[in-house]
Amino acid sequence: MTDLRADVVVVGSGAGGAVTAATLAEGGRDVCVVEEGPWIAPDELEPFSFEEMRAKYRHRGLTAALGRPGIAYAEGRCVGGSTEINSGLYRRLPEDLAARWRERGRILDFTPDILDHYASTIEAEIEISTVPGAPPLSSALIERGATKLGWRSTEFARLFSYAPDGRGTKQTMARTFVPRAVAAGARIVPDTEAVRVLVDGGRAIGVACRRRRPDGTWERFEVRAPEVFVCGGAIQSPALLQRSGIRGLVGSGLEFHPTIKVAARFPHPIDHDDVPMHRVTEFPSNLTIGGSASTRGHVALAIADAAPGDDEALDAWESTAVYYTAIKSEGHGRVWTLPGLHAPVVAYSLTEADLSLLARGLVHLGELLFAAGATALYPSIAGGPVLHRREDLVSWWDAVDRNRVNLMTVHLASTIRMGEDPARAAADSFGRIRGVANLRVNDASLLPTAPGVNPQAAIMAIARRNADHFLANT
Amino acid sequence: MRRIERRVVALLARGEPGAARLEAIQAYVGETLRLMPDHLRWGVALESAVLGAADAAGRAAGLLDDGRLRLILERWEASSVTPLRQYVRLLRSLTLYAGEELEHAAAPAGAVA
Repeated sequence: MTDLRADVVVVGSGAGGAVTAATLAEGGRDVCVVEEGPWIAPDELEPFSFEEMRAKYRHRGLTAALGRPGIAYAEGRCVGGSTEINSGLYRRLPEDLAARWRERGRILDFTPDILDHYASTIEAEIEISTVPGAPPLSSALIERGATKLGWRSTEFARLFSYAPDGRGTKQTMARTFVPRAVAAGARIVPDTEAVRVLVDGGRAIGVACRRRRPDGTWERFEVRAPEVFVCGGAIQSPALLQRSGIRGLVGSGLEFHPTIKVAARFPHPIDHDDVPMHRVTEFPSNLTIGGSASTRGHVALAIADAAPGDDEALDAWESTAVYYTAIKSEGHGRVWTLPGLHAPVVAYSLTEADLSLLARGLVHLGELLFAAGATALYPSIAGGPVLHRREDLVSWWDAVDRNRVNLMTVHLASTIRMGEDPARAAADSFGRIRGVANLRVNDASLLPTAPGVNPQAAIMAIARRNADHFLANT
Repeated sequence: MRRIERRVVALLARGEPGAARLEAIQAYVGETLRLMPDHLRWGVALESAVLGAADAAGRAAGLLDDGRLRLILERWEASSVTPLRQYVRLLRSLTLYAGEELEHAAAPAGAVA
Protein backbone atom coordinates (compact mmCIF):
# COMPACT_ATOMS: atom_id res chain seq x y z
CA MET A 1 0.00 0.00 0.00
CA THR A 2 1.26 3.47 -0.80
CA ASP A 3 1.23 6.25 1.76
CA LEU A 4 -2.17 7.83 2.40
CA ARG A 5 -3.10 11.42 3.06
CA ALA A 6 -6.08 12.80 4.93
CA ASP A 7 -7.17 15.82 6.95
CA VAL A 8 -7.43 13.67 10.05
CA VAL A 9 -6.19 10.20 10.90
CA VAL A 10 -8.10 8.35 13.63
CA VAL A 11 -6.41 5.34 15.23
CA GLY A 12 -9.01 2.85 16.42
CA SER A 13 -12.69 2.39 15.62
CA GLY A 14 -14.36 1.59 18.93
CA ALA A 15 -16.74 3.77 20.94
CA GLY A 16 -14.30 6.69 20.88
CA GLY A 17 -12.83 6.28 17.40
CA ALA A 18 -16.05 5.56 15.51
CA VAL A 19 -17.89 8.53 17.05
CA THR A 20 -14.89 10.76 16.34
CA ALA A 21 -14.61 9.59 12.74
CA ALA A 22 -18.32 9.99 12.00
CA THR A 23 -18.50 13.44 13.61
CA LEU A 24 -15.43 14.74 11.78
CA ALA A 25 -16.36 13.20 8.42
CA GLU A 26 -19.87 14.63 8.66
CA GLY A 27 -18.24 17.93 9.58
CA GLY A 28 -16.54 17.95 6.20
CA ARG A 29 -13.10 16.59 7.08
CA ASP A 30 -11.33 13.95 5.04
CA VAL A 31 -10.93 11.19 7.62
CA CYS A 32 -8.86 8.00 7.51
CA VAL A 33 -9.43 5.40 10.25
CA VAL A 34 -6.63 2.93 10.97
CA GLU A 35 -7.90 -0.21 12.73
CA GLU A 36 -5.60 -3.01 13.85
CA GLY A 37 -8.24 -5.74 13.68
CA PRO A 38 -10.33 -7.15 10.85
CA TRP A 39 -13.54 -5.72 9.45
CA ILE A 40 -16.13 -8.38 10.13
CA ALA A 41 -19.71 -7.95 8.96
CA PRO A 42 -21.96 -7.36 12.00
CA ASP A 43 -24.06 -10.50 11.43
CA GLU A 44 -21.23 -12.80 10.46
CA LEU A 45 -20.48 -14.26 13.89
CA GLU A 46 -22.74 -15.34 16.72
CA PRO A 47 -22.40 -13.05 19.77
CA PHE A 48 -20.23 -14.46 22.58
CA SER A 49 -19.40 -17.52 20.48
CA PHE A 50 -16.16 -19.47 20.14
CA GLU A 51 -15.72 -17.98 16.66
CA GLU A 52 -16.20 -14.46 17.97
CA MET A 53 -13.58 -15.06 20.65
CA ARG A 54 -11.13 -16.14 17.94
CA ALA A 55 -11.87 -13.32 15.53
CA LYS A 56 -12.67 -10.21 17.56
CA TYR A 57 -10.73 -10.41 20.83
CA ARG A 58 -7.19 -9.13 21.24
CA HIS A 59 -4.96 -12.08 22.08
CA ARG A 60 -8.16 -14.18 21.99
CA GLY A 61 -9.04 -12.70 25.35
CA LEU A 62 -5.89 -14.03 26.97
CA THR A 63 -4.45 -10.87 28.48
CA ALA A 64 -3.78 -10.11 32.11
CA ALA A 65 -2.61 -7.27 34.31
CA LEU A 66 0.34 -8.35 36.42
CA GLY A 67 -0.10 -8.10 40.16
CA ARG A 68 -1.24 -10.02 43.17
CA PRO A 69 -3.63 -11.29 42.07
CA GLY A 70 -3.14 -10.97 38.33
CA ILE A 71 -6.34 -9.73 36.71
CA ALA A 72 -7.48 -10.93 33.29
CA TYR A 73 -8.87 -8.30 30.96
CA ALA A 74 -10.48 -8.34 27.55
CA GLU A 75 -10.29 -5.90 24.64
CA GLY A 76 -11.92 -5.96 21.25
CA ARG A 77 -9.60 -5.96 18.26
CA CYS A 78 -11.74 -5.45 15.17
CA VAL A 79 -13.61 -2.68 13.39
CA GLY A 80 -15.97 -1.46 16.12
CA GLY A 81 -13.52 -2.31 18.89
CA SER A 82 -14.86 -3.49 22.23
CA THR A 83 -18.41 -2.44 21.32
CA GLU A 84 -18.44 -5.60 19.19
CA ILE A 85 -17.86 -7.88 22.17
CA ASN A 86 -19.50 -6.14 25.13
CA SER A 87 -23.04 -6.56 26.41
CA GLY A 88 -24.21 -3.17 25.11
CA LEU A 89 -25.44 -1.90 28.48
CA TYR A 90 -25.98 1.84 28.41
CA ARG A 91 -25.72 4.07 31.50
CA ARG A 92 -25.30 7.81 31.37
CA LEU A 93 -22.43 9.19 33.40
CA PRO A 94 -23.81 9.78 36.92
CA GLU A 95 -24.11 13.51 37.66
CA ASP A 96 -22.30 13.36 40.99
CA LEU A 97 -19.36 11.60 39.39
CA ALA A 98 -19.23 14.11 36.54
CA ALA A 99 -19.19 16.90 39.12
CA ARG A 100 -16.27 15.28 40.96
CA TRP A 101 -14.36 14.86 37.70
CA ARG A 102 -15.03 18.47 36.76
CA GLU A 103 -13.89 19.87 40.11
CA ARG A 104 -10.97 17.60 40.99
CA GLY A 105 -9.73 17.23 37.43
CA ARG A 106 -10.37 20.88 36.56
CA ILE A 107 -12.13 19.94 33.33
CA LEU A 108 -13.48 22.86 31.33
CA ASP A 109 -16.88 22.81 29.62
CA PHE A 110 -17.94 19.73 31.54
CA THR A 111 -21.13 21.10 33.06
CA PRO A 112 -24.33 19.07 33.49
CA ASP A 113 -25.95 20.99 30.63
CA ILE A 114 -23.14 20.19 28.23
CA LEU A 115 -22.98 16.53 29.24
CA ASP A 116 -26.76 16.23 28.97
CA HIS A 117 -26.62 17.76 25.52
CA TYR A 118 -24.04 15.25 24.29
CA ALA A 119 -25.70 12.25 25.93
CA SER A 120 -29.00 13.30 24.32
CA THR A 121 -27.27 13.76 20.98
CA ILE A 122 -25.85 10.24 21.09
CA GLU A 123 -29.17 8.80 22.26
CA ALA A 124 -30.92 10.44 19.33
CA GLU A 125 -28.46 8.90 16.90
CA ILE A 126 -28.35 5.31 18.12
CA GLU A 127 -31.13 3.06 19.35
CA ILE A 128 -31.22 2.40 23.08
CA SER A 129 -33.94 0.07 24.36
CA THR A 130 -35.15 -2.21 27.07
CA VAL A 131 -36.36 -5.68 26.16
CA PRO A 132 -39.89 -5.67 24.74
CA GLY A 133 -41.99 -8.07 26.80
CA ALA A 134 -40.59 -10.38 29.43
CA PRO A 135 -36.82 -10.52 29.93
CA PRO A 136 -34.99 -13.81 29.46
CA LEU A 137 -35.02 -16.12 32.48
CA SER A 138 -31.33 -15.57 33.26
CA SER A 139 -32.10 -11.87 33.72
CA ALA A 140 -35.48 -12.32 35.43
CA LEU A 141 -33.74 -14.43 38.07
CA ILE A 142 -31.79 -11.37 39.21
CA GLU A 143 -35.03 -9.48 39.63
CA ARG A 144 -36.64 -12.45 41.37
CA GLY A 145 -33.80 -12.82 43.86
CA ALA A 146 -33.65 -9.09 44.55
CA THR A 147 -37.40 -8.90 45.13
CA LYS A 148 -37.28 -11.75 47.63
CA LEU A 149 -34.50 -10.01 49.52
CA GLY A 150 -36.18 -6.62 49.41
CA TRP A 151 -33.37 -5.19 47.27
CA ARG A 152 -33.71 -2.78 44.40
CA SER A 153 -32.96 -4.04 40.91
CA THR A 154 -33.61 -2.62 37.49
CA GLU A 155 -33.37 -3.57 33.85
CA PHE A 156 -30.64 -1.50 32.26
CA ALA A 157 -31.24 -0.11 28.82
CA ARG A 158 -28.94 -1.40 26.12
CA LEU A 159 -27.65 -0.26 22.77
CA PHE A 160 -30.10 -2.57 21.06
CA SER A 161 -32.84 -2.34 18.48
CA TYR A 162 -35.68 -4.82 18.41
CA ALA A 163 -37.57 -6.15 15.43
CA PRO A 164 -41.37 -6.63 15.67
CA ASP A 165 -40.76 -10.33 16.34
CA GLY A 166 -38.71 -9.39 19.41
CA ARG A 167 -35.34 -10.26 17.92
CA GLY A 168 -32.71 -7.90 19.28
CA THR A 169 -29.71 -6.52 17.45
CA LYS A 170 -26.85 -4.88 19.29
CA GLN A 171 -26.05 -1.44 17.96
CA THR A 172 -22.31 -1.82 17.76
CA MET A 173 -20.01 0.72 16.17
CA ALA A 174 -19.58 -1.49 13.08
CA ARG A 175 -23.34 -1.29 12.65
CA THR A 176 -23.84 2.41 13.43
CA PHE A 177 -21.12 5.05 13.56
CA VAL A 178 -18.63 3.30 11.30
CA PRO A 179 -21.12 3.12 8.38
CA ARG A 180 -22.03 6.74 9.06
CA ALA A 181 -18.40 7.74 8.86
CA VAL A 182 -18.03 5.81 5.60
CA ALA A 183 -21.17 7.38 4.16
CA ALA A 184 -19.65 10.78 4.90
CA GLY A 185 -16.50 9.85 3.02
CA ALA A 186 -14.22 8.38 5.70
CA ARG A 187 -11.83 5.64 4.68
CA ILE A 188 -11.47 2.62 6.98
CA VAL A 189 -8.13 0.80 6.81
CA PRO A 190 -8.55 -2.49 8.72
CA ASP A 191 -5.91 -5.12 9.59
CA THR A 192 -3.41 -2.30 10.02
CA GLU A 193 -1.37 -1.56 13.11
CA ALA A 194 -0.42 1.97 14.08
CA VAL A 195 3.24 1.61 14.99
CA ARG A 196 3.90 5.17 16.14
CA VAL A 197 2.69 8.70 15.80
CA LEU A 198 4.87 10.76 13.46
CA VAL A 199 6.01 13.96 15.14
CA ASP A 200 7.95 16.75 13.46
CA GLY A 201 8.91 19.99 15.13
CA GLY A 202 6.63 19.29 18.08
CA ARG A 203 3.58 18.65 15.87
CA ALA A 204 1.88 15.38 14.97
CA ILE A 205 1.96 14.89 11.22
CA GLY A 206 0.56 11.39 10.79
CA VAL A 207 0.91 7.77 11.79
CA ALA A 208 3.44 5.12 10.74
CA CYS A 209 1.57 1.88 10.03
CA ARG A 210 2.20 -1.71 9.10
CA ARG A 211 0.05 -4.58 7.92
CA ARG A 212 0.94 -8.22 7.47
CA ARG A 213 1.07 -9.60 3.96
CA PRO A 214 -0.26 -13.12 3.25
CA ASP A 215 3.34 -14.40 3.17
CA GLY A 216 3.89 -13.18 6.75
CA THR A 217 6.14 -10.24 5.94
CA TRP A 218 5.22 -6.70 6.95
CA GLU A 219 4.17 -3.98 4.58
CA ARG A 220 4.91 -0.52 5.98
CA PHE A 221 3.31 2.75 5.03
CA GLU A 222 2.33 6.09 6.49
CA VAL A 223 -0.93 7.94 6.83
CA ARG A 224 0.01 11.60 6.65
CA ALA A 225 -2.46 14.00 8.25
CA PRO A 226 -2.08 17.36 9.97
CA GLU A 227 -4.37 16.19 12.80
CA VAL A 228 -4.13 12.89 14.69
CA PHE A 229 -6.73 11.35 17.01
CA VAL A 230 -5.62 8.31 19.02
CA CYS A 231 -8.64 6.21 20.04
CA GLY A 232 -7.25 2.74 20.73
CA GLY A 233 -8.63 2.37 24.26
CA ALA A 234 -7.08 2.66 27.70
CA ILE A 235 -4.33 0.11 27.06
CA GLN A 236 -3.42 0.58 23.39
CA SER A 237 -3.61 4.40 23.28
CA PRO A 238 -0.96 4.97 25.97
CA ALA A 239 1.12 2.20 24.43
CA LEU A 240 1.08 3.94 21.05
CA LEU A 241 2.01 7.28 22.59
CA GLN A 242 4.85 5.72 24.57
CA ARG A 243 6.17 3.98 21.46
CA SER A 244 6.14 7.44 19.89
CA GLY A 245 8.33 8.85 22.65
CA ILE A 246 5.48 10.58 24.50
CA ARG A 247 5.63 9.51 28.13
CA GLY A 248 5.31 11.61 31.30
CA LEU A 249 1.93 10.77 32.83
CA VAL A 250 0.89 8.70 29.82
CA GLY A 251 0.03 5.17 30.96
CA SER A 252 -0.18 5.93 34.66
CA GLY A 253 -3.35 5.95 36.70
CA LEU A 254 -5.00 2.92 35.09
CA GLU A 255 -8.30 2.13 36.76
CA PHE A 256 -10.84 -0.60 36.17
CA HIS A 257 -13.68 -2.57 37.70
CA PRO A 258 -12.32 -5.84 39.15
CA THR A 259 -14.95 -8.53 38.73
CA ILE A 260 -15.46 -11.93 40.31
CA LYS A 261 -17.80 -14.48 38.77
CA VAL A 262 -20.03 -17.20 40.11
CA ALA A 263 -21.56 -20.06 38.12
CA ALA A 264 -25.05 -20.67 39.49
CA ARG A 265 -26.86 -23.93 38.93
CA PHE A 266 -30.66 -23.97 39.01
CA PRO A 267 -33.13 -26.86 39.13
CA HIS A 268 -34.36 -25.99 35.64
CA PRO A 269 -32.87 -25.14 32.23
CA ILE A 270 -31.81 -21.55 31.64
CA ASP A 271 -31.21 -19.47 28.51
CA HIS A 272 -27.66 -18.97 27.22
CA ASP A 273 -28.02 -16.77 24.14
CA ASP A 274 -27.93 -13.32 25.72
CA VAL A 275 -26.42 -11.47 28.64
CA PRO A 276 -28.77 -10.63 31.54
CA MET A 277 -29.81 -6.99 31.42
CA HIS A 278 -30.96 -6.67 35.03
CA ARG A 279 -28.62 -5.26 37.65
CA VAL A 280 -28.94 -5.02 41.41
CA THR A 281 -28.95 -1.33 42.34
CA GLU A 282 -29.32 -1.78 46.08
CA PHE A 283 -25.73 -1.00 46.92
CA PRO A 284 -23.52 2.10 46.60
CA SER A 285 -22.10 2.83 43.16
CA ASN A 286 -18.83 1.11 44.01
CA LEU A 287 -20.52 -2.32 44.00
CA THR A 288 -22.47 -3.85 41.10
CA ILE A 289 -24.16 -7.21 40.68
CA GLY A 290 -25.25 -8.55 37.30
CA GLY A 291 -25.07 -11.36 34.80
CA SER A 292 -22.48 -12.42 32.28
CA ALA A 293 -22.16 -14.36 29.02
CA SER A 294 -23.02 -18.00 29.68
CA THR A 295 -22.20 -20.10 26.66
CA ARG A 296 -21.25 -23.68 27.36
CA GLY A 297 -17.57 -22.72 27.34
CA HIS A 298 -18.08 -19.75 29.66
CA VAL A 299 -20.00 -21.91 32.12
CA ALA A 300 -17.20 -24.48 32.09
CA LEU A 301 -14.60 -21.78 32.78
CA ALA A 302 -16.61 -20.43 35.70
CA ILE A 303 -17.10 -23.88 37.24
CA ALA A 304 -13.53 -25.02 36.75
CA ASP A 305 -11.96 -22.64 39.28
CA ALA A 306 -13.95 -24.01 42.17
CA ALA A 307 -14.50 -27.56 41.00
CA PRO A 308 -11.91 -28.69 38.44
CA GLY A 309 -12.74 -32.11 37.15
CA ASP A 310 -16.36 -32.03 38.37
CA ASP A 311 -17.90 -33.67 35.32
CA GLU A 312 -21.36 -33.79 36.84
CA ALA A 313 -21.36 -30.01 37.28
CA LEU A 314 -20.07 -29.44 33.76
CA ASP A 315 -22.69 -31.77 32.33
CA ALA A 316 -25.39 -29.63 33.95
CA TRP A 317 -24.35 -26.56 31.96
CA GLU A 318 -27.84 -26.14 30.48
CA SER A 319 -29.13 -25.38 33.98
CA THR A 320 -26.21 -23.12 34.86
CA ALA A 321 -25.55 -19.44 34.19
CA VAL A 322 -22.74 -17.06 35.09
CA TYR A 323 -23.22 -14.00 37.28
CA TYR A 324 -20.78 -11.50 38.69
CA THR A 325 -20.07 -8.79 41.19
CA ALA A 326 -17.84 -5.88 40.16
CA ILE A 327 -16.36 -3.11 42.24
CA LYS A 328 -15.00 0.34 41.69
CA SER A 329 -11.46 -0.25 42.84
CA GLU A 330 -9.35 2.06 44.98
CA GLY A 331 -6.24 0.57 43.42
CA HIS A 332 -4.29 1.81 40.43
CA GLY A 333 -2.29 0.36 37.61
CA ARG A 334 0.06 1.28 34.85
CA VAL A 335 0.71 0.54 31.18
CA TRP A 336 4.30 0.29 29.91
CA THR A 337 5.87 -0.41 26.60
CA LEU A 338 9.25 -2.05 26.84
CA PRO A 339 11.91 -2.58 24.17
CA GLY A 340 11.59 -5.98 22.53
CA LEU A 341 8.01 -6.52 23.64
CA HIS A 342 5.24 -6.01 21.12
CA ALA A 343 2.36 -5.97 23.59
CA PRO A 344 2.33 -3.45 26.43
CA VAL A 345 2.93 -4.65 29.97
CA VAL A 346 0.03 -3.88 32.28
CA ALA A 347 0.20 -4.01 36.07
CA TYR A 348 -2.43 -3.35 38.69
CA SER A 349 -2.42 -3.21 42.50
CA LEU A 350 -5.57 -4.11 44.37
CA THR A 351 -5.90 -2.63 47.85
CA GLU A 352 -6.99 -4.55 50.92
CA ALA A 353 -10.18 -2.49 50.84
CA ASP A 354 -10.78 -3.72 47.28
CA LEU A 355 -10.48 -7.33 48.39
CA SER A 356 -12.83 -6.71 51.28
CA LEU A 357 -15.36 -5.07 48.98
CA LEU A 358 -15.08 -7.95 46.51
CA ALA A 359 -15.75 -10.42 49.33
CA ARG A 360 -18.76 -8.40 50.40
CA GLY A 361 -20.04 -8.30 46.84
CA LEU A 362 -19.50 -12.03 46.44
CA VAL A 363 -21.52 -12.82 49.55
CA HIS A 364 -24.32 -10.51 48.37
CA LEU A 365 -24.24 -12.20 44.98
CA GLY A 366 -24.57 -15.58 46.71
CA GLU A 367 -27.54 -14.30 48.72
CA LEU A 368 -29.18 -13.10 45.52
CA LEU A 369 -28.65 -16.35 43.64
CA PHE A 370 -29.89 -18.59 46.46
CA ALA A 371 -32.93 -16.33 46.80
CA ALA A 372 -33.48 -16.77 43.05
CA GLY A 373 -33.53 -20.54 43.49
CA ALA A 374 -29.95 -21.62 42.79
CA THR A 375 -29.00 -25.04 44.13
CA ALA A 376 -25.23 -24.81 43.75
CA LEU A 377 -22.81 -21.89 43.45
CA TYR A 378 -19.28 -22.15 42.04
CA PRO A 379 -17.18 -19.02 42.74
CA SER A 380 -14.11 -18.09 40.69
CA ILE A 381 -11.89 -19.00 43.58
CA ALA A 382 -9.30 -21.75 43.32
CA GLY A 383 -10.63 -24.67 45.31
CA GLY A 384 -14.00 -23.08 46.00
CA PRO A 385 -15.79 -23.52 48.34
CA VAL A 386 -18.78 -24.67 46.28
CA LEU A 387 -21.93 -23.85 48.23
CA HIS A 388 -25.40 -25.39 48.33
CA ARG A 389 -26.94 -23.43 51.22
CA ARG A 390 -27.24 -19.76 52.04
CA GLU A 391 -26.09 -20.47 55.61
CA ASP A 392 -22.63 -21.35 54.32
CA LEU A 393 -22.01 -18.06 52.49
CA VAL A 394 -19.92 -16.84 55.41
CA SER A 395 -17.13 -19.13 54.19
CA TRP A 396 -16.68 -16.90 51.11
CA TRP A 397 -15.49 -13.98 53.25
CA ASP A 398 -12.23 -15.73 54.01
CA ALA A 399 -11.92 -17.36 50.59
CA VAL A 400 -11.35 -14.08 48.75
CA ASP A 401 -7.61 -13.81 49.21
CA ARG A 402 -4.86 -12.77 46.86
CA ASN A 403 -3.63 -16.29 46.27
CA ARG A 404 -6.92 -17.92 45.38
CA VAL A 405 -9.27 -15.41 43.84
CA ASN A 406 -9.50 -15.19 40.04
CA LEU A 407 -10.57 -11.79 38.78
CA MET A 408 -11.25 -10.25 35.41
CA THR A 409 -12.42 -6.95 33.94
CA VAL A 410 -13.66 -5.46 30.69
CA HIS A 411 -13.83 -1.79 31.76
CA LEU A 412 -10.44 -0.10 31.49
CA ALA A 413 -9.91 3.64 31.86
CA SER A 414 -7.87 6.64 32.96
CA THR A 415 -4.42 6.10 31.45
CA ILE A 416 -4.32 9.52 29.71
CA ARG A 417 -6.53 11.58 31.99
CA MET A 418 -8.05 14.86 30.80
CA GLY A 419 -8.03 18.13 32.73
CA GLU A 420 -6.29 21.44 33.17
CA ASP A 421 -3.86 20.33 35.87
CA PRO A 422 -0.65 19.24 34.11
CA ALA A 423 0.50 17.50 37.28
CA ARG A 424 -2.47 15.09 37.05
CA ALA A 425 -3.54 14.99 33.44
CA ALA A 426 -1.59 14.14 30.29
CA ALA A 427 -4.31 15.67 28.11
CA ASP A 428 -6.21 18.93 28.43
CA SER A 429 -9.97 19.22 28.87
CA PHE A 430 -10.58 18.27 25.23
CA GLY A 431 -8.09 15.44 24.83
CA ARG A 432 -5.19 17.46 23.43
CA ILE A 433 -1.89 15.91 24.46
CA ARG A 434 0.39 18.30 26.28
CA GLY A 435 3.67 18.93 24.53
CA VAL A 436 2.67 17.72 21.06
CA ALA A 437 0.53 19.96 18.89
CA ASN A 438 -2.30 18.52 16.78
CA LEU A 439 -2.34 15.25 18.70
CA ARG A 440 -5.50 14.24 20.55
CA VAL A 441 -6.76 11.23 22.47
CA ASN A 442 -10.49 10.52 22.42
CA ASP A 443 -11.40 7.30 24.20
CA ALA A 444 -11.69 5.69 27.67
CA SER A 445 -8.14 6.76 28.46
CA LEU A 446 -9.42 10.29 29.11
CA LEU A 447 -11.82 9.37 31.91
CA PRO A 448 -10.36 10.73 35.16
CA THR A 449 -11.37 7.56 37.03
CA ALA A 450 -13.15 4.31 36.34
CA PRO A 451 -16.79 5.39 36.30
CA GLY A 452 -18.34 2.58 38.35
CA VAL A 453 -20.89 2.00 35.57
CA ASN A 454 -20.60 0.62 32.05
CA PRO A 455 -18.40 3.28 30.44
CA GLN A 456 -19.54 3.19 26.81
CA ALA A 457 -22.13 5.96 27.21
CA ALA A 458 -19.58 8.29 28.80
CA ILE A 459 -16.94 7.45 26.19
CA MET A 460 -19.31 8.19 23.31
CA ALA A 461 -20.64 11.45 24.77
CA ILE A 462 -17.17 12.76 25.61
CA ALA A 463 -15.84 11.72 22.19
CA ARG A 464 -18.65 13.61 20.52
CA ARG A 465 -18.02 16.67 22.69
CA ASN A 466 -14.31 16.68 21.90
CA ALA A 467 -14.89 16.15 18.18
CA ASP A 468 -17.31 19.08 18.11
CA HIS A 469 -14.74 21.19 19.96
CA PHE A 470 -12.17 20.25 17.32
CA LEU A 471 -14.51 21.20 14.48
CA ALA A 472 -15.30 24.51 16.11
CA ASN A 473 -11.67 25.42 16.75
CA THR A 474 -9.70 24.24 13.73
CA MET B 1 3.22 -25.41 20.72
CA ARG B 2 5.65 -27.49 22.72
CA ARG B 3 5.25 -31.24 22.88
CA ILE B 4 4.84 -31.12 26.64
CA GLU B 5 1.99 -28.61 26.25
CA ARG B 6 0.23 -30.95 23.85
CA ARG B 7 0.54 -33.72 26.42
CA VAL B 8 -0.77 -31.49 29.19
CA VAL B 9 -3.78 -30.59 27.07
CA ALA B 10 -4.43 -34.28 26.40
CA LEU B 11 -4.31 -34.97 30.14
CA LEU B 12 -6.60 -32.07 31.03
CA ALA B 13 -9.18 -32.71 28.30
CA ARG B 14 -12.50 -33.84 29.69
CA GLY B 15 -13.72 -37.37 29.00
CA GLU B 16 -12.40 -39.09 25.91
CA PRO B 17 -12.65 -36.54 23.16
CA GLY B 18 -11.33 -38.76 20.36
CA ALA B 19 -8.29 -38.09 18.23
CA ALA B 20 -9.83 -35.50 15.90
CA ARG B 21 -11.46 -33.49 18.69
CA LEU B 22 -8.31 -33.63 20.79
CA GLU B 23 -6.28 -32.40 17.86
CA ALA B 24 -8.72 -29.50 17.40
CA ILE B 25 -8.46 -28.63 21.10
CA GLN B 26 -4.67 -28.78 20.96
CA ALA B 27 -4.67 -26.60 17.87
CA TYR B 28 -6.84 -24.00 19.60
CA VAL B 29 -4.74 -23.99 22.76
CA GLY B 30 -1.50 -23.84 20.78
CA GLU B 31 -2.66 -20.95 18.62
CA THR B 32 -3.98 -19.06 21.63
CA LEU B 33 -0.70 -19.49 23.50
CA ARG B 34 1.12 -18.23 20.43
CA LEU B 35 -1.05 -15.11 20.38
CA MET B 36 -0.51 -14.28 24.06
CA PRO B 37 1.40 -11.10 24.88
CA ASP B 38 5.11 -11.91 24.67
CA HIS B 39 5.92 -11.40 28.33
CA LEU B 40 3.12 -13.74 29.40
CA ARG B 41 3.96 -16.31 26.75
CA TRP B 42 7.59 -16.38 27.83
CA GLY B 43 6.54 -17.16 31.39
CA VAL B 44 4.35 -20.01 30.20
CA ALA B 45 7.11 -21.33 27.93
CA LEU B 46 9.57 -21.30 30.83
CA GLU B 47 7.21 -23.28 33.01
CA SER B 48 6.57 -25.70 30.17
CA ALA B 49 10.32 -26.20 29.87
CA VAL B 50 10.59 -26.95 33.58
CA LEU B 51 7.66 -29.33 33.39
CA GLY B 52 9.14 -31.01 30.35
CA ALA B 53 12.47 -31.44 32.11
CA ALA B 54 10.78 -32.97 35.16
CA ASP B 55 8.84 -35.31 32.95
CA ALA B 56 11.96 -36.25 31.00
CA ALA B 57 13.80 -37.03 34.23
CA GLY B 58 11.00 -39.38 35.18
CA ARG B 59 11.15 -41.05 31.81
CA ALA B 60 14.90 -41.48 32.16
CA ALA B 61 14.21 -43.21 35.45
CA GLY B 62 11.85 -45.58 33.68
CA LEU B 63 8.55 -43.88 34.63
CA LEU B 64 7.02 -43.89 31.18
CA ASP B 65 3.30 -43.47 31.76
CA ASP B 66 1.31 -40.23 32.07
CA GLY B 67 0.69 -40.81 35.77
CA ARG B 68 3.88 -39.03 36.73
CA LEU B 69 3.02 -35.96 34.61
CA ARG B 70 -0.49 -35.94 36.04
CA LEU B 71 0.96 -36.04 39.55
CA ILE B 72 3.22 -33.07 38.83
CA LEU B 73 0.26 -31.10 37.49
CA GLU B 74 -1.78 -31.89 40.59
CA ARG B 75 1.07 -30.69 42.78
CA TRP B 76 1.46 -27.50 40.76
CA GLU B 77 -2.27 -26.84 40.90
CA ALA B 78 -2.21 -27.11 44.72
CA SER B 79 1.06 -25.20 45.06
CA SER B 80 1.37 -21.98 47.03
CA VAL B 81 3.57 -20.66 44.23
CA THR B 82 1.19 -18.56 42.16
CA PRO B 83 2.86 -18.97 38.72
CA LEU B 84 2.79 -22.78 39.04
CA ARG B 85 -0.85 -22.76 40.05
CA GLN B 86 -1.76 -20.33 37.30
CA TYR B 87 0.07 -22.41 34.69
CA VAL B 88 -2.24 -25.35 35.30
CA ARG B 89 -5.27 -23.07 35.53
CA LEU B 90 -4.42 -21.44 32.22
CA LEU B 91 -4.01 -24.68 30.31
CA ARG B 92 -7.03 -26.24 31.98
CA SER B 93 -9.17 -23.18 31.16
CA LEU B 94 -8.15 -23.11 27.52
CA THR B 95 -8.60 -26.87 27.17
CA LEU B 96 -12.01 -26.84 28.84
CA TYR B 97 -13.25 -23.81 26.93
CA ALA B 98 -12.25 -25.22 23.57
CA GLY B 99 -13.51 -28.71 24.41
CA GLU B 100 -16.92 -27.54 25.60
CA GLU B 101 -17.42 -25.09 22.74
CA LEU B 102 -16.40 -27.65 20.15
CA GLU B 103 -18.69 -30.21 21.75
CA HIS B 104 -21.54 -27.71 21.64
CA ALA B 105 -20.86 -26.85 18.01
CA ALA B 106 -20.87 -30.54 17.10
CA ALA B 107 -24.15 -31.29 18.88
CA PRO B 108 -27.04 -31.96 16.49
CA ALA B 109 -29.51 -29.10 16.12
CA GLY B 110 -32.21 -29.30 18.78
CA ALA B 111 -30.05 -31.41 21.07
CA VAL B 112 -29.42 -28.47 23.37
CA ALA B 113 -31.69 -25.82 24.87
